Amino acid sequence: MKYIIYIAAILTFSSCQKIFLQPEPQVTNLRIYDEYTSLIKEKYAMLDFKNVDIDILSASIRSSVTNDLTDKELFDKMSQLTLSLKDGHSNLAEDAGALSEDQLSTSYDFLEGFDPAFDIAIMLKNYIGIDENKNLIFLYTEDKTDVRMIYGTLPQSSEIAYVWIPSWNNEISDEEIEDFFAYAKDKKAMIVDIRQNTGGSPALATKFASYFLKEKTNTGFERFKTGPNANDFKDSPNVLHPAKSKNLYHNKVAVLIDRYVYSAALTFSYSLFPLDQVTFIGQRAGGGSGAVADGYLLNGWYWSLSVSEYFDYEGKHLDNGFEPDISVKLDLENKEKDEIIEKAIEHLNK
Amino acid sequence: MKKINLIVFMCFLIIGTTNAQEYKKFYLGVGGVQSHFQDKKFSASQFKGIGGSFELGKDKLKGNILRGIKLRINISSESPYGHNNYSSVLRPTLNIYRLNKINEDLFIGANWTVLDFYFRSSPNLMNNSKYNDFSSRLSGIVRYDVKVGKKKLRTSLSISLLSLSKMANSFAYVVSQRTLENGKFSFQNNGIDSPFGKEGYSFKAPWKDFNLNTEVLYPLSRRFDLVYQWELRRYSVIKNYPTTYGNHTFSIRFNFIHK
Repeated sequence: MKYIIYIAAILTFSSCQKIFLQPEPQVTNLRIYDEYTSLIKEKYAMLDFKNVDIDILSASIRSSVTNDLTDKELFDKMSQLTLSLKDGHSNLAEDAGALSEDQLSTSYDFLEGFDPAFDIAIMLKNYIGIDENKNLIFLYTEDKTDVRMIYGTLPQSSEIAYVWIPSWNNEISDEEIEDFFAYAKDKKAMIVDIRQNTGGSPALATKFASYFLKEKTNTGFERFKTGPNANDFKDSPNVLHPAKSKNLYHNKVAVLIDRYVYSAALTFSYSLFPLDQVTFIGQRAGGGSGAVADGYLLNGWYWSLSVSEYFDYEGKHLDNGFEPDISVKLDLENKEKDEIIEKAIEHLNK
Repeated sequence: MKKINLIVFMCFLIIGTTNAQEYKKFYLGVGGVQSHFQDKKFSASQFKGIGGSFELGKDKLKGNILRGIKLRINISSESPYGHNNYSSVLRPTLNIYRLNKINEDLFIGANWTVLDFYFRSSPNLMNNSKYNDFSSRLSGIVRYDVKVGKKKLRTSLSISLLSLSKMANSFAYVVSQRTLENGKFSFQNNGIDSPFGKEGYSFKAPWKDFNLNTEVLYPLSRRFDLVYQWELRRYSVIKNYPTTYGNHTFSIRFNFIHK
């Protein structure tokens, strides 16, 4: 008898999985809506900064959410919540890889009323065209479709190193970073062009920034959401260490920025804020200071949300971007020069 | 009184009684796994899937002592009820155990899960595409052999007592809650998401990291055993939002050495 009891106990344990795994709710429009609202309320880290009362907003929309809404109608209602956050990191999409026009997805306007501050045609014709400038090294992605990094000197100045990093999303190896800084070491100044750089790997951006540090540097702190309640936050102070390299760069640096400087490009920027030798030139940067989490709703729709906020070493909140030290407007009519680069050269030659 | 009881119990474990039928086994197991996963911090969706299970192990009974080592690798692909986005799971575990023979049918001892790596990949996600969880744990284990005809059905049950683990995610982000609670997040700290970086590890009592394992083995012949194993783990609980996974594994073991 005791054997039977023992085996019965083993088999009973084996089925108690259902007790621990909580039942999956039925997929209805209201449940999807409520799940998304809870995610924003509990995970989104900047409701106060963005001045969004999610309870009031959510309740006002919820009254019109019924289970007979089409996907498109439901999506339109839910995207009002997303867009209220005014955050390029916080998105809602029908499909995780939704880029085509027939897919439902929210979009974020980086320019938001600003004029462009970068024109690739002007750049190619006057600064970085392969035929126009033989003093540049191009690092491409593996499939050769994108540039990872361009560096060298510009025709306008052989004493100033120029580097354009259009994204932190493409890997740049430690060796390649080292090669660049070894090349730049003897130049009297450097232009780091991060215009159009909407982010990628913050670890890579931080690694690159660490070459400009002289010593351990406090660059601010990141405040993470650590629980569902409104006050569940913890701060991680951000103290950066200089790269372990013989090629650290401590001469004057101009960082060129525009509205597309976002996310990891912001990480790169705030890592340099405390440095006296660094000047930001161009247009107000985009922002995007939060760490991003993502996942699926019950029906498979993709969501992403900022789950932290960043304060720089002076305590300034960075999610809505920052003003450059020298503000310059690009004249899109003048195809012969990029006023932002010209201003940087002028500033570095002073 | 409690202390005396404990001492008596320990002596009972260590001394035991003997009427040993000594054996040594090296085995290779192949089978299938049905896996389940739910992380309430991120979704109420329950992921379910199937996959393969491979194991390599050794059992040795000498005198009163049964010792063993087992490496198991489970691979599965899971998707939830409501949509088609899938996740792939790779889970290697290494266990070492030592049991004392109490009587002809009963063994009691300890199991050390030296490493339990849970790698989960969700290719359609971005920051949350990788869910890498590392742990090591000590469990109490009891094995009971039941005679079924001329053969013995071997059943065992183990329950975690203490674990050392580094969770794949916190309440909201893809680093362990401990790292954030301690204010230690940094992009220059490569150890944050590595099993070899000490940052983020913490000891957990069983009610915070609960692991339950059952195993039923039926010897088909001297060379082959039929094994069913079930496991449940409930852990990474933050304000009533736990992560839970469970596996049902059926396998055939080939005893390439059995003497």
